[in-house]
Amino acid sequence: MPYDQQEDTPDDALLVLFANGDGAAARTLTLRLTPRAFAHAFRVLGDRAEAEDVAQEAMIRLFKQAPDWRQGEAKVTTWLYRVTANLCTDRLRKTKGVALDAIPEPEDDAKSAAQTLQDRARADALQSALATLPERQRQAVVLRHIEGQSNPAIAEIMEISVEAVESLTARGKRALAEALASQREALGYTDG
Amino acid sequence: MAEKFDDDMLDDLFAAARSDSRATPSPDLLARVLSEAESLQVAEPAPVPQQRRSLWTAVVAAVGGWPALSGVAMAGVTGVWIGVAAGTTLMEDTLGLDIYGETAQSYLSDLDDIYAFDFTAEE
Repeated sequence: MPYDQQEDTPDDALLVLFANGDGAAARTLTLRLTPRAFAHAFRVLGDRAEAEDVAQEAMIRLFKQAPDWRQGEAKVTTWLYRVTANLCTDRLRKTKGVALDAIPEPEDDAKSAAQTLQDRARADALQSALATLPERQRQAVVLRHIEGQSNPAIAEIMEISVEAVESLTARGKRALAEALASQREALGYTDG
Repeated sequence: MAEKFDDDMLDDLFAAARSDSRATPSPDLLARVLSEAESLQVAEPAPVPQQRRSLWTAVVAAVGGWPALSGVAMAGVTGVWIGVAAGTTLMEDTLGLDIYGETAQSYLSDLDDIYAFDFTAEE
């Protein structure tokens, strides 16, 4: 099946095609799912190089899993987030520290330079604040509030109850607000 | 009030994080992942699911498949038909005596004459 016809094909069907040697499925899965794995790893680890390693490893594991994938049993993205989150946890436990990435990226032409700078400053501030959270709180907050996953989906990804997810995200948000309290004005937020 | 302000600020920061271009993978990473995917496809083609062969299938295959088995079945049916159609005409009344009696020593040589199929016997 050509690549341009696979855009609406579900992830699990693409995995079956991939296992049967379909090259277009390999391309579609790579372009569709690598950004998710990478973005999650980057937001949790705060480092592009580390996030690239994690995303690549997670995708390789997914491709290796393809021949044994049981359709309908688990959502592919849930599985991928879980593997990515676990790989991130392993890295965090090894390094015990998070460095903000300093690789310059192309500017977004649609926004003014000032707006872009402020957005970057806000994203950096959030990333720094996220790094102060315990790893499980950080993962839950990233999945819920940045990646837009539902609480039941996060519960499945993190293999905990929905109540535990709600507790983690609530505590995580409170901790973030405290960590960012001193930077409100610098980030352009004024009360009242 | 302060809580609402914090919530609004965090929502704004989460939105900024979502649009952060640094959370987008580089073309190099995508190329590496695709290359890994393709090499895995070459190295590990999907196994063709093999049907498990039952014992009966194995036995049939061992004797030469269904054509050979149908020949064996035909021979068996023919034997039964000959036996039934001929009734008792092919048997001597003294069969038991011939086998177990005093003349047992010579029964093998007699067998040829007595029990050989003789399709002209009825005529």
